[in-house]
Amino acid sequence: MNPGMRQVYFYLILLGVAGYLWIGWVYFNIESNREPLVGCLIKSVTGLPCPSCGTTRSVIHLVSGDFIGSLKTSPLGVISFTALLFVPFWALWDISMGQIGLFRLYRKAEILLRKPVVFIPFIALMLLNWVWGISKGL
Amino acid sequence: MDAQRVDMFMMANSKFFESHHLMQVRDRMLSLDDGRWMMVQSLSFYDPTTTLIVSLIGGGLGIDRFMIGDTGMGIAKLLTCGGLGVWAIIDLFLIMGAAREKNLDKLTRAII
Repeated sequence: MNPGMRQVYFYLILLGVAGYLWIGWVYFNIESNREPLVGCLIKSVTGLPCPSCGTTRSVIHLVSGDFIGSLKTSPLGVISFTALLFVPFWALWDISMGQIGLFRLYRKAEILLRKPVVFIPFIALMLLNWVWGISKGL
Repeated sequence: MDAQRVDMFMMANSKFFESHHLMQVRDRMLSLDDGRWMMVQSLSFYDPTTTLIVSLIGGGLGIDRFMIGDTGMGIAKLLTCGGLGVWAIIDLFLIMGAAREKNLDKLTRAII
């Protein structure tokens, strides 16, 4: 494993751990009826939601089994939830078995995303989601 | 390659690389043949200062990471609101180093 690969695995595992801790904390806060948490710096400063605001709420809906509610809050939550379910464990598996399957997929995805045919619709979808997020007052 | 040319390149481009990589870059350039000079000269590197400015403004959306070609990290940053703001702040300190690493990658890929 070269330094570049190690860095990618480090970031992926760190993101996974941070994701689980964050979701756990927010879930605990909801269960104990405390003030809802705002994780987004942009939203706390400007008051407007950022393009990916609502992801946490969407994941919380999914955890409680409300798939439609999750999609209505933010479709990005479904993607994040799926990534959170697989990526950290795959990364750990790769490290323990000395394989690089996840890294290959990561690189392939990066190369794919640099193509205009892919990244222009991606940006358009993100913008649409953002406009939808602002209009429903996330 | 001619030592004078290499030193000229190093003087003009030293800010694009980590200081501990400079000797390595110089050695590689010296062992390169003259025919590659134009190609090396025409490479455009990511400016660490510009990436820092972009990181200050668009760090929360991962634009800095997209800019230096770290698309995967950029998406992760975008989807997590800049890692709940924490990653965006940490990246203010890391992004210049990351840009310099990318420049070394770029040069290495070009001269292999």
